[in-house]
Amino acid sequence: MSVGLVSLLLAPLAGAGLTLALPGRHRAAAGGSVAVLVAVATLALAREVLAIGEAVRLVLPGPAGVEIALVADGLTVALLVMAAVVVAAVALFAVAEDLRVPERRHAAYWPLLFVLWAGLTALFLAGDLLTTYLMLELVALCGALLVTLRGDRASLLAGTRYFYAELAASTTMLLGIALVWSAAGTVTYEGLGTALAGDPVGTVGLAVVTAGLLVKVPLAPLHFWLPAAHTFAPSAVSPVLSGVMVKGALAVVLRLWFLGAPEALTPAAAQLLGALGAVAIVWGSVSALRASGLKRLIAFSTVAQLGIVFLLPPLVHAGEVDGWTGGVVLAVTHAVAKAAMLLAAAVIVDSARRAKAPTVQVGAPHRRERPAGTPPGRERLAGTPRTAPAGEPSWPVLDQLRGSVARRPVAVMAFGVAGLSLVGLPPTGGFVAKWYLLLASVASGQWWWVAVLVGGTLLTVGYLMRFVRPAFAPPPEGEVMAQRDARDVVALALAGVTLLVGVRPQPLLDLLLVGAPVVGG
Amino acid sequence: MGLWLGVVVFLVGLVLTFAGTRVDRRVPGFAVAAVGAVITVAASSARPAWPAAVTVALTLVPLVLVAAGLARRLDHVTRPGAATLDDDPR
Repeated sequence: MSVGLVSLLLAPLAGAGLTLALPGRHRAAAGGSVAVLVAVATLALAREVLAIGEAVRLVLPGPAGVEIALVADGLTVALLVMAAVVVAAVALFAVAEDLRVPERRHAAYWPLLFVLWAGLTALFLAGDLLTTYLMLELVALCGALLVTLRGDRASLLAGTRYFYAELAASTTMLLGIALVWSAAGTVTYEGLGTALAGDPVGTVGLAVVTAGLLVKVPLAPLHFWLPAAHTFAPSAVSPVLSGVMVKGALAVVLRLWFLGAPEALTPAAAQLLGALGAVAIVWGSVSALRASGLKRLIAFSTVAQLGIVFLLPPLVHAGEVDGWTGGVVLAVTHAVAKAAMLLAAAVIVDSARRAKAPTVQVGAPHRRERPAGTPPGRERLAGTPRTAPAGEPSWPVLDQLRGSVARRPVAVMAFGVAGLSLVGLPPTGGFVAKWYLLLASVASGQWWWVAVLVGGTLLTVGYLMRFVRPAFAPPPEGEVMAQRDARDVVALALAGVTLLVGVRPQPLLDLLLVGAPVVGG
Repeated sequence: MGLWLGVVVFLVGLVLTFAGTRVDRRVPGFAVAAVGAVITVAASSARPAWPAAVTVALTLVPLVLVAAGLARRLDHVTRPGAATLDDDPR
């Protein structure tokens, strides 16, 4: 088991080295292969932890006698599987895109993706606050650089805003860690609960750490950096940012307050976190209802859905283990659904742009205009806004996506299935998550969270309908109909995972009970 | 003592980082904040905390360099010094 854990850490790093060393045309194939292998190994680890039925702890020797603790409990393994499934799907999408449009290839993409994955793996496994901090830094660095890969003004600005927000959050968190360390004499999650024991400096430290984490999650109104970063990141990056990376800080919040120092969380603080979640639901949903482009709509939807996950603290604090199950299942299914949605959106938008371009002829949808003197791969499609780089999908307003169902049926189906999970309709994983959250709300007598959940669900339907309406409208006459390629299939397969969780939720539910917080108020 | 000195240096750095709007002027402020954070970590434990402080410092150095690099890249695609973090691309 220990070998398996260390292998999971090292395998993405090996992928980074391999893709860095290989020439450009072989990078995608190598990257895709390594990603699938790591995903399979992660699933094998999950199966093993499920069979053992208890958390696995590993202590690695660090410099000057400092020990690095790794913990593989239900929460960790569920998040590792989530990351593996999403990153593997994104890697396959990137391979398909590389084969289709090789000029979009960027030398730094694969190494950065794999280093980010290794950082996320170590972050989920981290059993102490210092390792957590270091991995959050690594992940933020890779994430910001991935956002800027397109190199145009919009993506550079978005990546820079994201980077500074992460830096401010990280250093704030580091300050809090130092305060906790000085008060408790330890930074391991296991030791925090007893070591702090109501120490005011330690409690302030925990609050400062949490403030930094809430910027990283992000929880509204601290989400100022998210919409632009998620919108202007390349198509094969946004799903990782929106689905997986935001769960890194979320996992730390859950581990800190429910597995590390649960005694430090007062009822008022738990209700405050839930109230911030409710604010995020309304803020994110209203912003999504007002968004002009599809990707920006999806980005704001992430803000809203993260708000729903924050209904977990008041429910678990009230002694409802169903609140834990519902919250974590929601985090996992949201990652998968959101990634599938963003992959599908990239295909739909790309297809709509190509259909609109006057140089594109019926029956030859991939031909592009190349002005004299422009090198191959740097040509611009007519109608491309200034913010869109050559060869990348731009983000037309929603009304310009008319006829997407006829144009790209498989991708729209993937979007639809993922949307059902976001709404929380059966038989999707989103339904399972919201069902458990509802059960916990009712059982703990906190009816106001039922109202928030129902309201959030209705708002989700509302903003998703903004895409559905133009998508089902008839397309302009004379357009190429019903196209698909490997990217549509990857998006649909990923969306199908939410159905799998909905139909067979028991393995995930059992996994989440391994090392779950001892609830009881 | 060192702990609170680090906190003060960090807060001064944070204020410098977010004072003004130009991206390229924020890097020195962040460097000061990073130094404050390292001092805080180094002074936070009765046990020798230098391995943690050195590790943290080693991670903060590349972050400062990347911040500077991003500011330079922004200058290349806009007028030098014209980019601000208040610009929210849509």
